[in-house]
Amino acid sequence: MQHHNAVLEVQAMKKYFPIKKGFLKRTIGQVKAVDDVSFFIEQGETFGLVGESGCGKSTLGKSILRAIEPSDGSITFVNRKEEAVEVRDLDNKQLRDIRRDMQLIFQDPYSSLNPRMTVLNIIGEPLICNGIAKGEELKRRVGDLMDLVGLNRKHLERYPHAFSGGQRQRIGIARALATDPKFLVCDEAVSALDVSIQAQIINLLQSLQQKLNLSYLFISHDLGVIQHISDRVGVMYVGKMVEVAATDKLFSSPKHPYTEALLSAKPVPIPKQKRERIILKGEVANPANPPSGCYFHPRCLYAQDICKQQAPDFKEIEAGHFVACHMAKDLDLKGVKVQ
Amino acid sequence: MEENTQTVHAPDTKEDDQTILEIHDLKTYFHLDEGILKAVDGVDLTIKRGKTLGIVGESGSGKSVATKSILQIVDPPGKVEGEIKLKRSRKGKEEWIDIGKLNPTGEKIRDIRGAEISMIFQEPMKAFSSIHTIGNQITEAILIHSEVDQEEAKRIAIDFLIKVGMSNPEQRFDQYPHELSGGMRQRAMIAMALCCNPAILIADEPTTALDVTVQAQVLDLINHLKETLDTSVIFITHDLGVIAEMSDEVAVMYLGKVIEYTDVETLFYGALHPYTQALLKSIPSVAHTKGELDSIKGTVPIPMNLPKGCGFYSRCKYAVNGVCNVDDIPFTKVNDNHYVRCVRLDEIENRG
Repeated sequence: MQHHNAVLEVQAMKKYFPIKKGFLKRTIGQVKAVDDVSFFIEQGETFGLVGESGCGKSTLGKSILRAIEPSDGSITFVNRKEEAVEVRDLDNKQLRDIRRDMQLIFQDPYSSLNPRMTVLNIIGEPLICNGIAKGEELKRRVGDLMDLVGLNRKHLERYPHAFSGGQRQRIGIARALATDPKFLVCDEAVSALDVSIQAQIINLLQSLQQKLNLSYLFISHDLGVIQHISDRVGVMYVGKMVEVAATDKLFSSPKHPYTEALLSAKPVPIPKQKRERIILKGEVANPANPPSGCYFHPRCLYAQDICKQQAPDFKEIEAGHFVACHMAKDLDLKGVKVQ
Repeated sequence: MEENTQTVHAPDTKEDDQTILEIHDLKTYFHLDEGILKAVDGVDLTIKRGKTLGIVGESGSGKSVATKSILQIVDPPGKVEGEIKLKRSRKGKEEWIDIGKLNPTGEKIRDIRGAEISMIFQEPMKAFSSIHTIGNQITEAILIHSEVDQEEAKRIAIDFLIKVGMSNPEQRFDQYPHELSGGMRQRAMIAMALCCNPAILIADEPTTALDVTVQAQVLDLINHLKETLDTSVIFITHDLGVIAEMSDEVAVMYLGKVIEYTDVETLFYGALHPYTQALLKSIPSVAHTKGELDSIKGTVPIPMNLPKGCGFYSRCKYAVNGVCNVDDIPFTKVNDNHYVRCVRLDEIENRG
């Protein structure tokens, strides 16, 4: 590992989905859902991942857990014994073991819980599967988990339909925490919730992080939530990571034109404020047939000839500030005010 | 309810020249086996010419049902009651028509839908028929509501596709909804909604399913069209950022009632209802804090068999037993154009 305090380090990860056509199902092309992405997450930090739909942020999150098998690259993870493990080399048994340490929280609390299982079985399933607890011990541990996420432990025998959206998300969080993991992928974990409930869940995730020293990969399309919860933020565009920086840095002085456009597009809750908004032309590139050079160049306001010919490298231009843009050093881009 | 109707005043009277739609005591009830679900329970709203009214609320607050009631397109077994007065000009004369009294399947209401009042939905894939081209569907709307021939209708349709910023409008005209991207589909729907020059455009969460950069394009488009065509807009959303950007006036809904009604600046800088205040504080980008967000405890109750008094009682930090849960709460005027449904306003104002 290059970063000694990292809990997770992803290097040159790729996930290509083949496009098959015809009777013989020949592969005629590839959708480059995640294309050469590298980043790391430190112990106890929240890494926010932001991007538009189809940019590959969920695929990246699932590839890290090997819920989707990545095509290429390396994933180094520090497990509970403080050993650095290459996740891609693990066999099924080892994988099951390491998944105790890395868990996933889903977006939709309505479809991610089995309606025929009681809360006891839903939250307890990881404990049963891994042979950690059963019987009375299981009940006690599930009860403790329910206390931890702010649910009433008397509701142990209830089914998911008896809970509201926010409570269901708490059940999902309790299930993810059942095996006492150190790293959680939160895939749009608060996006389906109403704002007042969203605030409850964000508060819960933050307090759990402090209590249990968790690290989060927090995937969201909502810049407001990302800004609030993250220590560092990565921006993705068409399968590539285009910028990574500390949250305040990224929001106040972005270095990639796409980040600038994304920030300016975010509606601000300040009435009658006229802002110079950057309206991007055209549409997000097709990851099956991306443009030459920098994928963003057809929509970029600052594109030069070199952007059409050559793909930019993902470089560190200031300490901790990584950008994939040929013009990064020459551009003076506008950010948003940071509180 | 008796007291309620006495103290409620429509924010403006209909003598006001600019008012084009006035809703008074709108109630939409669903009679279910389990009881009466009061989705909308005594809502008063006024829409002015060329202005945008934002309606904000959480899911289940009745904001969508309220606007569907205006067009009488509430799903069964919903029943709509109350006055919905629309000002329409007929042969140079202005007349008021009460939509609430019209037969929901009659000819008169169909005349209004899509022509005087039209609607944009959240999910354009569901609003378009998937087996007709978008050109076909837009021209159909034009042919129903105006006396033009097929050729002229096609010209108008393409004209509107250009207005909403569609690339290659002639080619798009012959495409099916599934062939367009989400943003393009939403543009096509806006074109369809505007092709008969409606006086009022109802936009029900039109950008919720879109990405921020596409959302920015669509919001810009709606604002631009509103200015050029002098259309009034009713904009429903749960996103207060979008509300700030789009609205002139805002109605905050909770449990089927409007609990605060004011202009957009007062809403953000001088909101008085505890729910509005809490809602504003629970948004990360308004809260201006890295620490804990001010969340509202509990959840929105189901609007069925509710106890008496304020709907927010169980979640409100100012709630007082014996004051807030005794009677229905009147919608009181605090200032010109600022109405709040709360009985503990004095205490809240002093603390604020």
